Amino acid sequence: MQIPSSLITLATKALAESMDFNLMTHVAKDIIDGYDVFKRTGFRESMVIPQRDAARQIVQDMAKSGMFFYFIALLIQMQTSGYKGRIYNVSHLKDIIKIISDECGYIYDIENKLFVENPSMRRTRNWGAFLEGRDYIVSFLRLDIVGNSQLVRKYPENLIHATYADLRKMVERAIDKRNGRIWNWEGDGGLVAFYFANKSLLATLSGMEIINELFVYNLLHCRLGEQVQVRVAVNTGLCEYTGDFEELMKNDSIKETVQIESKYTRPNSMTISNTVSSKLDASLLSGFEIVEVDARTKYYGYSINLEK
Amino acid sequence: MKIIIFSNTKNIEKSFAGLAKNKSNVLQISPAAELKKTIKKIPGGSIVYADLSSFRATEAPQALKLLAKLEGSSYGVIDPKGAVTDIGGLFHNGAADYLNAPLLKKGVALKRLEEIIKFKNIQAPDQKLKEFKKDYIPSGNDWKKILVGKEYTFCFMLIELDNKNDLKATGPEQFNRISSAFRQYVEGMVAPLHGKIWIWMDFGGLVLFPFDGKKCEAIETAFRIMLDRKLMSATIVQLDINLSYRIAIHIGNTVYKSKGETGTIISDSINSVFHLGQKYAEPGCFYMTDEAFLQTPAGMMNMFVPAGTYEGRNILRMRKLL
Repeated sequence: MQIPSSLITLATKALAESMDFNLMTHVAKDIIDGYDVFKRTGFRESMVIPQRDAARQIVQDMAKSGMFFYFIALLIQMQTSGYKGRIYNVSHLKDIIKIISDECGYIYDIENKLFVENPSMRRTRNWGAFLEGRDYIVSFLRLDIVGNSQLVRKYPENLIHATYADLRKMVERAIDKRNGRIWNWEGDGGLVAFYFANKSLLATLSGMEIINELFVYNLLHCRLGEQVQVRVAVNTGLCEYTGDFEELMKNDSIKETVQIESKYTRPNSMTISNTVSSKLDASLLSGFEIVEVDARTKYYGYSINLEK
Repeated sequence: MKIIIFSNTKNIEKSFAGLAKNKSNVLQISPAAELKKTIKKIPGGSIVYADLSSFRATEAPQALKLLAKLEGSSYGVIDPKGAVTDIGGLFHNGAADYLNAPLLKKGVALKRLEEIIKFKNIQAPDQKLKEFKKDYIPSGNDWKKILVGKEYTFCFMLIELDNKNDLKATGPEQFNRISSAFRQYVEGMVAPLHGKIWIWMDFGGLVLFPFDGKKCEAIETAFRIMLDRKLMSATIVQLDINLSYRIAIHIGNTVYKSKGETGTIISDSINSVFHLGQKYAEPGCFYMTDEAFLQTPAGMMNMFVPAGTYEGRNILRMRKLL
């Protein structure tokens, strides 16, 4: 993303006023491995680079390499939680954060210590925060339409399209309010990611809402002559982020989520893994049924059961 | 009309599929063993069929005795094995219909139902609705034409938290937080249907929905609120507790007065919905009167079971969430 020049100028000023040459180069190297300010400025190593010139070069390079927000997030941490054991007072931080919010549409997430896009202004797949090749702990919600092939064969195309569009809207309503992002959506279901706040809880609540809403949809609004059934699975795990979906699907946590959905989930129910259930309150889990996986692992299942 | 079939026979519903052509007919299949337990709660105006082949030989006469005592509804006998030797005797004991194997194979058509209605002089739901509608003064789809001091028909929804003592025990601060979060949640759910919280107390309140005499979407909303109990508890309370609440819905008339000035209203409808919700309803359940049930979307009718009569009205309850 293009960083406004006013922001570059202010960040340069903040850097130059708040730390010496050595510290700012350390910080830059923390963000860009092997960063060499001498090479970048053209100064010989035997020479002293004026503090403001070094600051300008570092800030511009951060902007060019797409690491500007990470760099500012690190400055915020230097002032709040410290850097290598010491707290640094960084000038103009409040103004920088305000410009980032007003002009770029990004807000600072204290919990994850990074800038993310303001969901009311923009919604991209990685919240504008994930970097290619980096690891993140993510909660996944996988949804699959049961018997998709039979439905597609049985009903006219327009009816299937309209029904699946209804389902997608249902999913979007459930996940948008919980800051989830659809990472993949195919004809017969999709994969949703959650990263912020209590992501395991948010993914679980989204899954519950989808199951509940689908129940009412099947009673009153379904366009087909039969119920639309889904299987939902929720799992939390480590994920190396990539924009390439085929690569992403090779990730172990995602593969595990798919397996939970296909192997341990009944139609019109949701199964959550133990990495998810461990983050939930006992009261929420109380109505879930236990799904025995093996002697050491148990999942939990959610579905709507009404008296006969 | 509600047609309740007590049978364990596989695919018995196929014999009655023709009745579903009229959307106001609701078919409910229950296990034969349920007959004894639920017969007293069957809403008036229903037709009850008992499949004798699903009862043991010793139980069948008892089932027929129970059916003969049925008040306000009619009954028919399903006899696929031809076990009844005195068919005329069934009619002398009040039966309205008899279905043997060939008739079951042929299927029960709407015309047969009409003949039963005529024969037994039953008040069909359509007739019942017509009678209710005589007293309706529709208030419309929204609040634009509703004037203070005038009488209208509304849909009333009473919603109230259970476990009052447990909630109070969390302390005044925590309790106020729960109460106001609950109120906010209810407001958010009813606002899209122009529902207004009319009276609010510590644990819940009365919501008023304008009613145009044609449909009542508040029932779908109340159904969702019941389904979402756990979801709502985890979202709004943020304490490790599950909220429990009851809902009562009724459609009836009242003079409309502004919020806060409702103390002097004398209304049978308001009394009824308060009594139903606060005195008759079990915790965690959703009840409604016959007047409201007749406005329930057809696809949802099977989600409700008869729950007896109260203050002269047939009551229905949403099936409990297990």
